[in-house]
Amino acid sequence: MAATASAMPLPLGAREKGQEERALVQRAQKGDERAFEQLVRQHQQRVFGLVARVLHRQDDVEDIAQQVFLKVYLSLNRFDQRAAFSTWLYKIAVNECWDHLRKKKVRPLLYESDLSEEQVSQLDGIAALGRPTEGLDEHAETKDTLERVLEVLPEQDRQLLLLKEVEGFSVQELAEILGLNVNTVKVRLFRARGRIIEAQKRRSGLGGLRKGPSATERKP
Amino acid sequence: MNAENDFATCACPEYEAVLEDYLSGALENGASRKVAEHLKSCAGCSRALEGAAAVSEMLRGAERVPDPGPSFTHMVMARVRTAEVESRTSFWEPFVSLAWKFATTAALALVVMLAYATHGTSPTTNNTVATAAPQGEMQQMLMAGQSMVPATRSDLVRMVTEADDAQQ
Repeated sequence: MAATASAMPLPLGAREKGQEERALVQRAQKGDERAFEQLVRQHQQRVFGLVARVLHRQDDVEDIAQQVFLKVYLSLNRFDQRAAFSTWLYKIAVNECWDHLRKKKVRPLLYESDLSEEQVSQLDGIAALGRPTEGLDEHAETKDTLERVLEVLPEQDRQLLLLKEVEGFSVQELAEILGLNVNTVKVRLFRARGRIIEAQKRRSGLGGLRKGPSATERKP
Repeated sequence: MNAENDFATCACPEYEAVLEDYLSGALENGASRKVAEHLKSCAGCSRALEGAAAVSEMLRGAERVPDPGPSFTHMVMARVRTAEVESRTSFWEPFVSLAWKFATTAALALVVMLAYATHGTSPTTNNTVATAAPQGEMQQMLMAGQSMVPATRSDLVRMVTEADDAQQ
């Protein structure tokens, strides 16, 4: 079954936007600082979002995002425009984040069983996920609990979901940025949603599954 | 089909990717109709899709990371300019350093040549005289030193005896 996103030609607006971006990149490659500044302005929010979602924390985000644009500027002449500038930029951003995490030796995974009883009880409040749309509009609470809900996911699945649903990256873009097959991205996204629902059911006892050992049980 | 299983495995594996497209509205009409027909007959996929839609709805309610604003752009451009200046400097730096070394050596050589041309050979004569005196003194000292060193064991005994006598 064919997906329209990959088969259909680009809409006129998108094509014009693409041409405009190519021209900007060419000018920037010739040393036009204003053109590069415009590219920064156009992409800074998405780069910022991408870095923030991959790093999973607020500190260092600005510095890493700046570093990304600096790297892009310094290697701009090596970019041959065969791929979209945005894809190339986001790839650099993801690599920069991974380098940063590697240098810091950060392990940004938090397992469900690491949550305290208090955190688990907070999560029980959103067990309504099993019953779609109920209470989903309570924005302030959702924002606070969102991160906790996503903590049941492996790091890359969490990133995929946030980048797709919140930051607006397409499946195609995510596949290119993260070096994954398009179908793999789709399956992982779908399964990630499933894991969230399963976790909520487990917490509310609906699924009848056994909870993992709590942090206090594992650490005497 | 897999209705009795947990959510994570309840959708038909061959439909997972398609259901993701269906959920995003990325399917063509024909493909979309096929999925809709499958959903009518597959409770597992229907349940999985319902849950996935709920999660998507919740996630779409979340806030995007805000635009860092014009101050961010300025900071990036400032770093770009600094890096450019540094890269220019670092490119010419070895040449500049080499040029300074060459200039210093050339200047020193010029000073020596000028001094030689101005004073001719007379300073050399003075230098010979000036260095001759210390050389002579050194020779005398060396000769005196040599005479102090005993050549044989009997010389050593004689020297010790003479020293004792002198002390007494």
